[in-house]
Amino acid sequence: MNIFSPHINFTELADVADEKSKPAAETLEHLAACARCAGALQALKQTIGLMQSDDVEDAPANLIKYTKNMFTGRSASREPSRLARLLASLTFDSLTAKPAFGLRSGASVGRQLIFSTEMADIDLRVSPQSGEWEIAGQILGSSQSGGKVNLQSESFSASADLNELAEFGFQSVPSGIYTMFVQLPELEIEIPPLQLGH
Amino acid sequence: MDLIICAICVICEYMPPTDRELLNACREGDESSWEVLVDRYQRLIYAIPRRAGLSEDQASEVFQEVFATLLQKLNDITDPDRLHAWLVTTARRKTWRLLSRERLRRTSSTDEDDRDDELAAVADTAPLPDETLVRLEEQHRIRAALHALDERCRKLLTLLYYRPEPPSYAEIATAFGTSEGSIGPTRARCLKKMLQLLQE
Repeated sequence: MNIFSPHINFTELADVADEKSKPAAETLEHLAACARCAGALQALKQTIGLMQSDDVEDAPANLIKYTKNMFTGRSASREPSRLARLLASLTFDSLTAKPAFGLRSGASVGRQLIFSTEMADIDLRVSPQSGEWEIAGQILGSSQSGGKVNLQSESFSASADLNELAEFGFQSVPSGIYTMFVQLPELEIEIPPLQLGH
Repeated sequence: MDLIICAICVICEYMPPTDRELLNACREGDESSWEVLVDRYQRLIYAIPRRAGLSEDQASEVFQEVFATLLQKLNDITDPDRLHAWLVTTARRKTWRLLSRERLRRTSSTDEDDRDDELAAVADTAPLPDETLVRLEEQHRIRAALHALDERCRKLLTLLYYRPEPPSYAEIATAFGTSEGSIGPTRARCLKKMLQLLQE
């Protein structure tokens, strides 16, 4: 307490909350009688306790990076156009126990991933191929004919036309982080970053 | 000198952009605002599936889906001030869906076509207790307030309260190039500012 205020000063309250020193009898008496100081002490103790018990882990750095890149891909694909653009989200993964965003090079079997939008779904099948990857896919639910799929990473890019069944495929795709865009006559779909390999 | 600098820092607070400001900037195509949003919520959104018992990989899947959905719905969120609640609810739902699918995968061998029906029939077993979620959200708010403090306060409170074995006042004083006697009052001033931010 000080001569200007009948209340306990904040430094002393923080000391009490921190248990830095045993509070004086006068301080304890005041806390018992003063709702304002007792409330401030309670708030301090609660805040300090929440900080000290905060063991929440950060999301993995690479996951944060991919997530930030979602926006980059979205921005990069922007151009003046009447095309509708949709971002697909993963709705099925044949190996749900494995990472949705990553396919380890040690995998020996194929994996099916389905990405969905409100207008069409993309069925992707990814399988290892002599140290690289094969991607086969099909656009489901779209009545538009024709179109192509672009696959791109920092060091690799490829494009594949859709056949009459709206199927497409990529061979000998090296490991890496890929963005994929499906371009239909009146619709463009972006698939979230896909990691192949390490 | 240190006390003067610190007092000025506390007054000239950096106020981070609000969720509304960030969301509006994202709608305008501002990539840096999207990055701030991801950084702001990454810990909370990742913690929800983790605390519900999902693996790191499954939590990553939920995390990606939440932010992918946010990107899809950037223009559909009618109340940007409630972005926090929207993200938490979306993360909880996606966590629940993944848990339900896992449960079905283990217990059922029926055709995939029937899965959606079965999924709907699975009772919500509250994968994340409310008190756990409340605690996570309070810790998120405190971290947000911490990041709104000036650098000196942020460093000091981090050293004192986020370290499993916090350094002594003497060690902190050496690291800060100040006297040991100034640490207690500086800490009190930083805590006071933090409480003010939490009450805003």
